[in-house]
Amino acid sequence: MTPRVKQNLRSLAYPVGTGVALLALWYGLIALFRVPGYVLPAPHQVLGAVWTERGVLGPAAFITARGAFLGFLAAVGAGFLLSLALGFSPRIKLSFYPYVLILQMMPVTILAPIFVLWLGQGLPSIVAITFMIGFFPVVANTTMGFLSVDRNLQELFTVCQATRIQEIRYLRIPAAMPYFLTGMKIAGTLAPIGAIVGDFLAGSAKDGVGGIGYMTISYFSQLNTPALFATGMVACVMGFIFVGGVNWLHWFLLRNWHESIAKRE
Amino acid sequence: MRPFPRLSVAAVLPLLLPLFLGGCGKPESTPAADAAGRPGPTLTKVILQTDWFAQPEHGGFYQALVKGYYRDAGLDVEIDQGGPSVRPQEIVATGRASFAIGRSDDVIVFVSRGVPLVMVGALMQRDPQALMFHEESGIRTFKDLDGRNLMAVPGSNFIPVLERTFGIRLSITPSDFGMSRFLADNNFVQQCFITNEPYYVRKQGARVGTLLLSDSGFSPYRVWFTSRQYAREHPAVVQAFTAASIRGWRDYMEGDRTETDRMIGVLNKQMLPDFIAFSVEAMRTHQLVAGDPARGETYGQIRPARVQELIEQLTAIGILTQPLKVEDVFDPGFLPGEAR
Repeated sequence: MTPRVKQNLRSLAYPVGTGVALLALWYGLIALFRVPGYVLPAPHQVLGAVWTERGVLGPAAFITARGAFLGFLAAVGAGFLLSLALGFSPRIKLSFYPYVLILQMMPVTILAPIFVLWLGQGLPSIVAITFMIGFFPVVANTTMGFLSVDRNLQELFTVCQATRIQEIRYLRIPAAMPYFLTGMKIAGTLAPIGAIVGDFLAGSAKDGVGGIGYMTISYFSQLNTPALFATGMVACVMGFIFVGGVNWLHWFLLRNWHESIAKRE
Repeated sequence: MRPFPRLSVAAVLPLLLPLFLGGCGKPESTPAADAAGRPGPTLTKVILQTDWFAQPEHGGFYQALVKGYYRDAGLDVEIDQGGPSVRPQEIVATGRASFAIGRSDDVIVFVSRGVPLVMVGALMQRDPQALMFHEESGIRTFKDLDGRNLMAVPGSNFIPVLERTFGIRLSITPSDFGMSRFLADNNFVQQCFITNEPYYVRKQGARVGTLLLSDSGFSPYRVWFTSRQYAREHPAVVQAFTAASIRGWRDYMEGDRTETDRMIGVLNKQMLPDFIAFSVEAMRTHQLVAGDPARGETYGQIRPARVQELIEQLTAIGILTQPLKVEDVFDPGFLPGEAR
C-alpha cells in the first residue's frame, strides 16, 4: 500500500466510523427508551419505506426537481439581466435598488399564497416561488460584481476611449462572473427548498402522487413516519444532485473564463 | 488536558426521557371549593385537547364546563384549543392530555401505526366535513367531481375512498385553510366543514353548493378518545368524563346555550353570535350531533358495526399497516347504557 492510498483510507475511515457510531446511537436510543416507530423509526425501517414508496417518491422527486430547475433558471436569467441594468448606470441603480431590497425583505412564505391567487395551482406558482427565493442572491451578488471593477482597468478603458457597451462587454461582465457564479450557487442551494415550500401551498397531486412537499404533508397526516423520513432522504439526495450540478457549472464556466482571458492577452 | 468537559451519555439521556415517557403519573387532583370558599370534594384534573380553535362544533364540551356538569362528575376539566398544526392524537398518546377529539378514521389509522389510542364516545354521529363548490360549476353529485381539482388535506382518507366508491379521479391541492382561492375561482372545489366555511363565502356573495362526505358512504364519527394506558389506569375518570360530555352535548343542542356561546366568542374572536347561530343550525339540519333518531342514533353513541365498516373501507384503500378488529380501536365499556 502506498502512503497515498493509506492516507485516503484513513480519511475515509473517519466519516464511516462516525456514521456507524451514529447508527448505533440511533438504534440504541430506540431500544433503550422503547421509542415507538411512529416517533422515531429505525434506519432499516426508513430504508424499507424508501423501497416500498419508491413508486411515489421517485415521481415526487422528479416533480419537485422540475419546479426547482425552472425556478432556478428564471432566477439566474432574470437576476443577471437586472444586475446588468443596475450595473449599467448609477442612476438606474439609485432608482431601482432600494425597491429590489424591499422586495427581498418580503418573506416568500407570505408571497406564496399571493402567487397562487395570481397564477393558480401547480407548476407556474411553484416556479414563481422558487424564482423569488433564488432571484435576490443572484441580483445582490452580480450587481456587486458589476460595480467592483478594478479601478486601473476602468481607467485603461477610459483612456482608450472604449464605448459604454465595450466597457460592459469586455470589462464589467467578465469581472462580475465570479460574483454571478457565487449568487448562482446560493440560488442553486435554495431552489430545491423553494420548490418544496411552493409544493406545500401550490402543489397538486394526481392519483395520490404530488411533489416532495405534498408527500410530506400527506405522510405526516397519515402518521406514516418511516415514509416521512424516507421523503427527507430523497429530498436530501435530490438537493445534492442539484447543488452538485450547479457546482459543476461553476467550475466549468470559470475554467472557460480563465482560458478566454488567457487567449485575449 | 481536554478543551472542554466531556458530556457523558448518562448525564444527557435522563433529560430526553420525559419526551417519551410523559404523563405516566396519576392524574393530579385539586381540591374544589364551593361558592363560600369552603373546600369541597377533591376534583380530578383532566385535560381535553380539541382539534381546532373554540367553535360551536365543540359546544357540548364547553357547555359541560360552563354548566358545571364536569364538576358534578368530580372532574376539573381544562379544554385546550387546537389549530392547524396541533396533533391531538400525539398529545394524548404522550400523556399531555387525557382526552382529545378527532375523526374515527384517523384514530383507526393511528392505532394501526402502533399509537395506543382508544375511542370512548362520539360527539358527532355524522362528520361535518363536506365538499364546497360554486353552483356555477355544475357539480351536483360526487360523480361530477371526476377529473377536478380539490383543495383538501393531503393524505385524507376520504380522498381514495371517494375515488374508489365512485370510480372517479381527483387532483388534490394542499389545504391552506383559507377561502380566498375559492372566492376567486368559480371552478374551485374545497374540503370544508358544512357548519363553517359556507357561511363566510355566502356572505361574500358566492352561490355555494355542498356535498356532505358522510352521504358518500364513508361516514366516520367524530369521537373523543384517550390512550390505552389512561383508560386502563383511570376507568372511573373516563366513564365520568364520557357521561358528563354527553350531558353537555345534549344540553348544548337542546337547552340554553347563551353562556357557552359567550365563552366561545371570548376564546375565539371570530365566533360572532350570527355565525354561531348558523353553525348550530347546520348541526341540527344535517343531524350531525345526535344523528337520526329513526335509526336509533343518539348522543355519544358509537356502534361497533359502523366502526367495523370503517375498518373495512380503510383496509380496502390500503392505508392500514396491520389488520384491526373493532375492539382494538373502540372500548364500548365507558358509554352509558342509553348510548350503546
